[in-house]
This record gives sequence, C-alpha cells and structure tokens, in this order.
Amino acid sequence: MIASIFISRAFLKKRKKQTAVSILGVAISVTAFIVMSSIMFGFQKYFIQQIIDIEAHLTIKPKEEIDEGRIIRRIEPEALVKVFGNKPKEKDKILGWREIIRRLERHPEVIGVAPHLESKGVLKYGAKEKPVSLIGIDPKREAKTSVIERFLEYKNLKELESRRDTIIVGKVVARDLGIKEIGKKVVLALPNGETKILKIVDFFNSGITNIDSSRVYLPIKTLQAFLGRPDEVNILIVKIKDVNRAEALARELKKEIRYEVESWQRAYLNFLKIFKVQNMITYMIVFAIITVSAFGIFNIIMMTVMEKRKEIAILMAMGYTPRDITSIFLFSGIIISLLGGVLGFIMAWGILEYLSSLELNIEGLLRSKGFILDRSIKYYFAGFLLSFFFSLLASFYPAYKASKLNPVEIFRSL
Amino acid sequence: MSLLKLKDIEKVVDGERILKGINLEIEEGDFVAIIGPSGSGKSSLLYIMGLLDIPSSGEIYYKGEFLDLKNREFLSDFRNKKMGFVFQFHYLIPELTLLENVMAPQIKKGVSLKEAEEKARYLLERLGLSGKEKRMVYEVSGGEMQRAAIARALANDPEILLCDEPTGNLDSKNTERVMEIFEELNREGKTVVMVTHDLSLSKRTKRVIEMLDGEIIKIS
Repeated sequence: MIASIFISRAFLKKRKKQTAVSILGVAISVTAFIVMSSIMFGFQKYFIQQIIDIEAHLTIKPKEEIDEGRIIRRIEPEALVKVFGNKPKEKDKILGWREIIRRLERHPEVIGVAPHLESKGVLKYGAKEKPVSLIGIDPKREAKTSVIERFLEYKNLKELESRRDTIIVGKVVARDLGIKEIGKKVVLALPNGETKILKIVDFFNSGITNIDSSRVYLPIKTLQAFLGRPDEVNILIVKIKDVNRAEALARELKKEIRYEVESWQRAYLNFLKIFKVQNMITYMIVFAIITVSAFGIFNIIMMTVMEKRKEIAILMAMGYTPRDITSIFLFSGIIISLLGGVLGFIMAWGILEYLSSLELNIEGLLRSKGFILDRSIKYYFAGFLLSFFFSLLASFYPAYKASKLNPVEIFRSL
Repeated sequence: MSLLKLKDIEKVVDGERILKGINLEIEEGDFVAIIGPSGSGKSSLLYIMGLLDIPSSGEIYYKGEFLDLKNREFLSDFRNKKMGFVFQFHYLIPELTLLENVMAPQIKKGVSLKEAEEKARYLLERLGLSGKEKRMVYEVSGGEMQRAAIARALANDPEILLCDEPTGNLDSKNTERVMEIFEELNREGKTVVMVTHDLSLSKRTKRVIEMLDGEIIKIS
C-alpha cells in the first residue's frame, strides 16, 4: 500500500493545476451538501419543533359530516341525483368533554388535555380590520398542554385568568393592525354580529407566520359568553410524552372516542409533504454537483492513465502487481477526495459562520432575524462520505483500465 | 542446476509465430548476449524470460521449480524480488527524483522507506551518481539516466539482470562505462542476459545466443 501511495502522490504532484481543480470540485460539492443540508434541515426542524410546541400533539374535534349516501342518490331505478354538499346536521361541539378529559388524563402517554372553543372573528383597531381565528382557552390547562407561555412576549398568560375582557394577539395580527404595545383596546366583531371591546395583554410570537398572522387567544368563558355557547367546547388539545407516537395514539383513541382524533403529523401533512419534495429537489441539485466533481476526478485520473502508460509498464516491470496499479490510481481519487473533503469542511464551516452572523428579516413560512441553521456534525460526515464514495467510483474505472495494460505492448509501441 | 530454463517456448501474436520452439538454459553467474537482426524475436524472448510476457505454450523453470505463468500477481512479485530490468531508454519515472526511482522497487518489496533510501544512496554512489540523488530525471545526462536505471534494476539485489539494448541510446564513452558495470556485476556473481545488436559488445559476454525468425540458430 505504501508503494502505491508513494507513486500516486508523485503522479498527482506532477499535475498540480488539474489536481487542484479536482480538489476544489470535491470541496464545492461537500460544501454544497453541508450548507444546503444545514439550511434546509435547520428550517424544517425549527418549523416542526415550533409546531410541536405550539400546536396540540393530538386534536380532538367533531367529525366532519360527509354523508356519502346523500352525495349520489338513486331516486328512480334509472336516475341518479348528485347533491353538491349538505348542511351540517351535528352541532360543532364536543359533548361530555369533561369526562373525555378525565379519561384521557388517566392515559399513561398523556401529559395534559385542554379545552378550546374556537371560532372566527374580525379584530378592529381604529380604521384597520383583520380577520382572526378566535381561540378560547383555559389558561391553567393550556399551560400544561402547550408551551404557549414561551412564545408570549410579556409572559402575561395569567392576565387571561384574572380579567375576562382580555386578549392575546398574534404578533403579525398586531403589526397589521398597527399595534406596537400592549394595553391597547381593540374591537372584536363576532360571527353573531355583536362587537366587544377587549384589552391586549400580550403578543404571541411563535415565528410561524401562518399562526402569528391569524390567532388571538381569549379566556374560554369570555368567548363562550360572547358566542352564547355556555360551557361549550369544540376542540380538545392533548399533549403526549412521545411526539413521534402521535399518529399511533390517534388511531388508538379513535376507537375509544366518537370524535375525530388528529395527530400533529396529519394536521401538518401538507407541510411535511412539501418538505419531502424540497429535500428531494435539494439533494438532486447536490447530486448533480457531486456528479460533476466526480467527472472531474474521472477526467484527471483517466488522463493520467493515458499519459502514464509508459510509467505503468515500467512499474509492472519492477514488479508492481495489477492490484498495485489499481491502488495507485484509486489512491489518487482518495487523496483528491480527502483533501477536497477537508477543504469542503473548512469552506462549509466558514459559510455557515457567515450565514449565522447575518441579521436579516426573513419572512415567509417562518419569521426570523436570520438563517435558522442546523449545524450538526452529521452533515459533515454525510457530505464527506457521499463525496468519498463518488470519488472512489469515479477513480475505479481508470484504475481498473490501468491494471489491464499490457507492458509488453507498451514497450513495443515506444 | 540452471537458474532459468525455458522449455518448448512458443509465442504467437496475431496469428504469427514470433518465437518457435525455444529451449534455453541460463546458468547462475552466466553473462549471455542475445543477438540477431530486427524482428528476430530477441526482445520477445527477453520479455518472456523476465515473465513480463506469457508464452503461448511452453514451460519456464526457475532453479528447477516450475513457474505458474497464469498467476499474474505471483509473477509480478517474483519479478520484483528476483529480476532486474534495464531498457534501451532509461524509462525512469519522471515524477520521481533519481533517489526515489531507485527506492520504488524496494518499497514495493516491503522495505522500509529509511532502508530503501540508504540502499538507493549506496547504489547511486556505486554507479557514480553521488550528489545527484535529489535531481529530477530531466536534470541529468543520458549516461547518468541509464546508470540510474541500472541502480534501480539492482535495488532489490536481483539474481538475474535482463537488459534490452541497454547501450542502444548511449555514446561510446557511456556504452563502455555501462558495459564495465555489467562485467563487474557479473564478476560479483550476478547473472546478466543482454539483448544487443552490437556484435562488439556480445564478444565481451560469456555466451552468445543467435536468433533468426523466432528461432535460436546458434549458441556459442
């Protein structure tokens, strides 16, 4: 092996420029993999973590009424009638919700359960209006089932307990209405046409635009009173010990409860699907970059083999075996990929350092003051291994070709 | 017992018999010149003797032991340990210094880098290349290149030295020097087989094998 490295190193040194370009190619592909993975997974993990923290792990709600039998109905032996939708028959509420909470709280996998009354409304501040999702909560129970308090700018969740005319509004809702500080009074227009005046006691800022631009929280009793639905609840949120068990637990609870049980994964299925597609596209791009760099390695090693036929024949005359000859050129690929990998690590680290230091107002699916990066070491390893594998693959064919050269034919041709 | 024995060696290339029924024995300590016109099969025979080429038929024995000519790895290893090659052109590896060129076969044999360097320095010094160890191939003269190539051939202390027109590219002064080296090595007990078309050189060897059209026509 030392003999192969000894010769391999000499061949690479002779082709300094081409070797440097190949090393750079590998470095760029490793960098691209690490940086893109860090950005992509940083964003996705953050999003999922926020969702898990803010949202219920399980949501129990009334079943949506889809009366299959009424969609297509046979009215005559040879005539069908198609009904485009039907009015909900069942009221939007959970009956016996206290009993359900008691039962669920006894479940070993459940941490806490909280009731919600959810509805729609329009929030007005001065001349500005904003449609919002109203969530009536029991602050004590809510604190047990979500980490809502973590996202409150002034940690005033208890204010909802002590005063009935209080409201917590999403940060983007407040911004869109032009509200910059708490204590302001807003008018809430309800679906029944009534309007109420509420005092803002806090801002809710999860970083997820979709949530912060639509939600407002108010005491459940206040909302029940406003809507004329005393003691009514239409959602139960459940926090469980292992978030990854949410889907399995939802299936289990569906058998026991007559209401719809939805896991957070199902609720955010569309986002998770988008992430999958996003990952696929990203890795296709990275794959293309790695393939180009692998071709660079293939090119330099193949050219070396073509140009070094005489030297290969001499090495064979010296007693270098076909396996040694293969090793010489495989080592060339390995040396390039190792040096490229190390350079890629440094470049990726530098770029990630730079990105993490940037202060940007990013507003999309998430809002943040800069890039959300996952700087796990595993992306460095994965990038390196992937690039190493492709480099080895690219070196193999020319190395194999070199080992198959016939020294006598080469000597005769000189 | 002969050092190298070739029995009924035939070589067919593209349907043409370039070696026909070769039977030859090289004794230990022999100094043999293979002569003949171009295309007579001298180099082909040398390559087969050096196990670089495989005969189409026939057998090769080394110190009485049959050599498995189908095992390429074994033949390479055998060549590395027992044989040294010198070609018409030096065929040094241009990416390596003279010292590294002489170290290369030793490293393949498994000799440590330190020992390989010591031996390479000794051989280069012996062949009059002291002080030029770190020179690249293109930084020395043709004669020096050929002497470095001989040093490389001697690196693993081979039992037999196979030379293909080793002076074919040298002037008379360097030719004389190279021949003196071969004679000295032979006196020390090395077996030397040299392909040449220079009859004056063949007169300085112990035996001469004359070839014509792929056959040995005379051994004197």
